[in-house]
Amino acid sequence: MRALFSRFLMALSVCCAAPAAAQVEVDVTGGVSAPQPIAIPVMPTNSPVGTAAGSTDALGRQVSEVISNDLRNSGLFSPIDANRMRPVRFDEVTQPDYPYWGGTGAQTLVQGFVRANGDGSLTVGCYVYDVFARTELARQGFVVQPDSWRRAAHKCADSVYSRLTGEGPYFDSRVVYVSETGPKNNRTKQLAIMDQDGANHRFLTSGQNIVLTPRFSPNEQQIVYMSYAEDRPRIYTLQVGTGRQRLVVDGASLSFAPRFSPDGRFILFSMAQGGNTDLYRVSASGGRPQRLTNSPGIDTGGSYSPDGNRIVFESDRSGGQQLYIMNADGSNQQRISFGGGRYGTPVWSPRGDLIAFTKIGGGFRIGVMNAGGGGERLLTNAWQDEQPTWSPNGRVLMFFRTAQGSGRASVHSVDLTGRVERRIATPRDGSDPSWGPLLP
Amino acid sequence: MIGVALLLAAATYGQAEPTMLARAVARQVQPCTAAVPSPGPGSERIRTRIRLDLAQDGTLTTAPAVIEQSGVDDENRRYAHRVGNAAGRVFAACAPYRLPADSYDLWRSIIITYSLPG
Repeated sequence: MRALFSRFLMALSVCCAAPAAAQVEVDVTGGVSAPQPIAIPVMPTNSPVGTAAGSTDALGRQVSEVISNDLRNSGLFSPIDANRMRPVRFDEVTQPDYPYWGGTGAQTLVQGFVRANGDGSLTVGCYVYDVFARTELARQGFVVQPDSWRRAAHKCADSVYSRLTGEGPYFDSRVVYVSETGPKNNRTKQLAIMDQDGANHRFLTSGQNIVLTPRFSPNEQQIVYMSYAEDRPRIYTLQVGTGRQRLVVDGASLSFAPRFSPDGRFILFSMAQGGNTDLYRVSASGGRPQRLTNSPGIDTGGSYSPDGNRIVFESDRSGGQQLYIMNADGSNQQRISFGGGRYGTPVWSPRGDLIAFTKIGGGFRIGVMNAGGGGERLLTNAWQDEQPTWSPNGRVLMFFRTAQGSGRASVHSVDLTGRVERRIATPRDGSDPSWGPLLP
Repeated sequence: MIGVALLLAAATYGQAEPTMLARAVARQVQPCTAAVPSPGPGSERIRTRIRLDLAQDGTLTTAPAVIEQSGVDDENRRYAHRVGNAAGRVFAACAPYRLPADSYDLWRSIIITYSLPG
């Protein structure tokens, strides 16, 4: 690669001879382009049979709808209207009718099938084709239990997205957040979990105690959060599968803002003691907390780098909330935010390249900066947006928005260009989202 | 964990027209262009024509060659070299290109006009 590039520089300096006769000419404008037209017809079945999740032909329609919605919501694709596409026969799945699909205006075609297996499971096949080059781009098959058919659809959408954008996948993932209801001065707050598209929603806690800042463990099997149980704000973990809750940090001190380390061995959190709030870490299985910071003021909102070697956090030690990074053992603390205003709730991208934050000053806005500081960009511009959380591929952020006047909270997402923003539908108001890892 | 099934490969098809090949190339390079930052104001007006010479497997047989640049003016002249360099890096990074083998005569040499987003 380096040798090739060096030769390119030499070619540039001598400014080449006249071009050879070329028969293909391409015009490319870098960066953002209009959403790519993509055809995602209903997935046929070899034989319509009933399953625990409905008949295979009905599932074929639902799978194509989930794939379409995922790709549309990314802002990069424009699915062809279902009413403009003819049905696809089962035998056509591996023999696409390219002239027909070219006529629809689609540049890419996603075809597949849903098949019931003898053991009660389903196979969902997913093929991705380049309509113009008339070539297959990707092919994947997924075996799922009927009640997990949406995961197969998300995996197919991930395959399409990754193949066409070069980015990592993110559709097959879940979000935990705080579901809110009730009047402003007497809110009920419960932990809730849902797929990243809002489906498969369920509550994890009863709402008896106020809960805040839930965060997934790296293996997605636990959630760490703050609860006001017994009127004492402390940190707990909850097993997603069983619902079992466990107190992590006991004692009289206020503990909050917890987050797992990337290896899942530790929980980073803030604790207020003696009029000062510092960052601590504790073994995920419990034990004595280890102090990481010791400065006057409030140090909180710690987030590990994906390699676990460093931590970004917010501190008001300089007189106002700013962002700092330090080694995972608390050493070498350095400020990285220097723009006007204040900065809070930092979170390190899973790719390691960026840190997202809440910018405070004339409102609350979601922003990103380079991991070492600098390159600050603001992505949203509403009255009060805060608490960003990264998608598994580090290219989309979820956050919550508080409406001016009503004070009602809702969960939203925005991509790194800031151009693709949407609201995530939840049954009630929502805040404090945390985006989990890609599901296996 | 989700299970994986092996699927049969799809049938391949015949020669595609140059227009369709151009679209296929544009789609393949688009992700590589998305991360190119603008070097400065006015650089989006610079249009760089680059020639790609490709082997049958879609790899580059030689480094991308800048043929010419247009849209260079007094404001953006300082960025012309960097835009040209960026274009070369982009198209080298996106290789190998996946194009129909039976149309190789059409795409063995491709001219790309590249500009940064406005």
